[in-house]
Amino acid sequence: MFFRRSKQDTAKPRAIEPEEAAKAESEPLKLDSITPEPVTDVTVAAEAEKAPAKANGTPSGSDNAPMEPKIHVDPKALGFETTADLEPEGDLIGQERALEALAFGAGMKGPGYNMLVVGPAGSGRHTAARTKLEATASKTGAPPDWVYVSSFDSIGRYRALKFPSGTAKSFAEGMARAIDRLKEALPAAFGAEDYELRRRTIEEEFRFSRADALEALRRQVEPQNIAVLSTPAGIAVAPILEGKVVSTAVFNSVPEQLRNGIEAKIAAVETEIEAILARTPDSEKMLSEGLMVLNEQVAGRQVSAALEEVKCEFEDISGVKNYLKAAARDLVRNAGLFVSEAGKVDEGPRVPINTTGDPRFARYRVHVMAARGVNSAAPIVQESNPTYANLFGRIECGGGAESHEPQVVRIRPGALHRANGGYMFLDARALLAQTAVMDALLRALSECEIRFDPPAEPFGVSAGEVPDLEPIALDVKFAVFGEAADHRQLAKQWPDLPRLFKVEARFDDTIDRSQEAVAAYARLIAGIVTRHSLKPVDCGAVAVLIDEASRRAGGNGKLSLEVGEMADLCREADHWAGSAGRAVTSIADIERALEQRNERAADARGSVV
Amino acid sequence: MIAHVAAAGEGRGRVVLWLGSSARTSSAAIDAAMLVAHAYDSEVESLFVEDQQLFEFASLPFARIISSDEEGWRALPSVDLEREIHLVGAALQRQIATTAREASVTYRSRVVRDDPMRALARACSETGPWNVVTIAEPFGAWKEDRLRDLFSSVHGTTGIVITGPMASRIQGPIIVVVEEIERLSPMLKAAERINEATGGPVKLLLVGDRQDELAWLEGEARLLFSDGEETPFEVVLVERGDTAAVAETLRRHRAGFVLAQYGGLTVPAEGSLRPLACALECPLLIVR
Repeated sequence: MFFRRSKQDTAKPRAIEPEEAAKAESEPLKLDSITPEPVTDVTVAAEAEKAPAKANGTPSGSDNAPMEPKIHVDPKALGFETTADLEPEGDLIGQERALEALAFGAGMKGPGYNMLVVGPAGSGRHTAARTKLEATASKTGAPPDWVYVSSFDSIGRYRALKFPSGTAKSFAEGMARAIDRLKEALPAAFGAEDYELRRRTIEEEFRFSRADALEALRRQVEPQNIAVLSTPAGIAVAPILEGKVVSTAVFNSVPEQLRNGIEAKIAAVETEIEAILARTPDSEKMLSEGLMVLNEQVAGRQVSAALEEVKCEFEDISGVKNYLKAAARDLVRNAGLFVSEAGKVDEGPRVPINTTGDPRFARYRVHVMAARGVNSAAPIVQESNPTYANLFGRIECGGGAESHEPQVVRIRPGALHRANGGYMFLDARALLAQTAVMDALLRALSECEIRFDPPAEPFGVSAGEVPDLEPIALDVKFAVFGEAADHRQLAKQWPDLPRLFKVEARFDDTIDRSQEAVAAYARLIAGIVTRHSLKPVDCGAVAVLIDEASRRAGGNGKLSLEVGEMADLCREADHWAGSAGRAVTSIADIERALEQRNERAADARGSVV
Repeated sequence: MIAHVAAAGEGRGRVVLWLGSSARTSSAAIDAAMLVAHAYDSEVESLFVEDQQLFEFASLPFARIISSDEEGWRALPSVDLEREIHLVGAALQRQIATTAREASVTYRSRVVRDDPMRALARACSETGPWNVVTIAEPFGAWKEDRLRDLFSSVHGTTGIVITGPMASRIQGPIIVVVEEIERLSPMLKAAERINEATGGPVKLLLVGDRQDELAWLEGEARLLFSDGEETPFEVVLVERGDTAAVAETLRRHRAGFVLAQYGGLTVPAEGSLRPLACALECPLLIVR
């Protein structure tokens, strides 16, 4: 019996990876490696011809002279007809050490036990890591929520508040509702007649205090024939006689001594008037203070009422009570923001201002950085583009119409915030392309905090004006995926890396081709079929796939563990089986898939050249 | 009384809006003048009096003034005084003309240089049979005894409208303060006339300083209303000289216009009107 050669073997040689070439060079070719042990090595051409027919009843698909696949595995020896007869294997085989390392890294508490996941693409490292970590994450429980809120200080700092899992959004919504409530309540309060009356009373008290003093002075000096007069230009002091101002002629007719005496009296009264007017600045200060107290009373009542709901619900959470106090003080101080400026009291009712989108009101926004569901597990976040903004978040600034200073409009979370309390997957090659970000990331890992310190200023903010965000405690387990060369490069550029990444999960790209391994591989293929909802694969096709795996591993007693490639082959063969109307994927379909792949690879090489 | 004259169909009355020597005016006073004129289908004449005494004073060699904005005293030559008074007067009259136009009230303006009381007395005697003098300056800016001078010197005035510093509205209930039963009917009629212009309800406030007299007044008022629609009324007992209770009642009702008699408990001929005037948020028409 002769094996049907696959066209791939005769037409175009498979491209040999450098590592394989190096391996091949180092290991002399052994005859017994061509026929891997301990698989039953039976070459039966008739059976090979029958195998595809048995599987699907039709000859293999090529119109050319049929190529005998070089099957080193006896399909019959596999012990099943199709993969439907098998118990599907998980995503991996032969990666026990790597899986053990992942389990260890996932379970180790404390900093420094981040993971380097080394292995070729397609080795199933991502899937394996996710599966392992999901199991741990589900037992960990939901991490806390985090928000940023303004500290309302002059520096413009933002405080980080930690909330029980699943409550931060509710707090943010509660604050937003309170601000919305004030949009109506404050204009109404300051437009109310009661407020107007009290305000005018205070103003008149100020006016009266001066008027009273002048009136008292007037009454005092009138018996002395001195009058205090009001003119359009101000206050004057004049001599009077029988209640009437003395005319010039009459005044000049009076003896000089008397005239001098009258002028002296007038001068004294003028001095008193000056003193009364000089007290005005203090009165103005008192007026201003009185109005401020009134405004604070009026605004304070409304602000307290608006914040009551959120206070009752959240004041037991650390930091919230102080935040609400500071917010209330700030709201009272800035109550005028809520009232339209175009609409003074005398001109009509005040109208509420549109706060939506107005940067001046952004100071009251609660920026949710991490919010979980109440019963969610620890998060697993994959960031494929690890820029600074994507990892650490970004700040959006906007300027008020009358302000030249940028206002923080929104603080957006990064992947670190989303992953906090859980796990993050990063790609080594992507990190190598972001040197500054990697520095920041390692700092974050060393200090166990997410500190916003971007290498470039946020848009709209000049140097030195980056808002100060309180660092948030970082509790993330990292897994950096890459091939060996990428990890070597990382370690070379960042010598500190091993201190922070103590766990290495190395995914092999091959496994020894044992009987057990072959059987496991068959189950692996069954698992691929199940996961991708493919047609069952017959034992002949499985044998071809195993052989292909062997060939990819260099054919020297190994099987390739590039599960991704296997999965792609299965899917493509499934497609061809479907095209041919077959219910079971056969050797012909695998063959065709391989053939098509080789043609695509050749085309790609040709186009590159 | 306005009501008596109006009932007789005589429409030759006038509202004299007295603009004083200060630039400070009450917009509520100006609105009140327009309201009364509109209610009685009469005209408003603004009378800007250039106080003769000020010019006498300006001619004195040591005449000087001080304002709250400036530091120290400055000389006040007659020509400067004249110019400043003229500017103030012109600005005020422009403001009033605009208000009259908006209120569809016939408006005239006059500038005289004279003693204020004499100028008012002359203005009120020229046209009759009734004149209501509205003082544009809010109470407090002028001497308190000016009201007594007005009633005693200006015989042609039927009533005087004043506004306090808190006055800001003319819309709202018209409240008639009655202290003598004889005045109830005519004052109520006057209020109803004004009510036609404002559209607000009319309310009655019976005021007395003795409980038995107040009770009798109340009984008489009920008898008066027994034939027809009753005007809502309230009873307030005050101590002589203490108008705080009246002021509080008026404030509570958010009065838009108040009518009261001169020389009674509410508006005494002697004593200070200041507590009431300063608490009022609306104009007060004091009828002789």
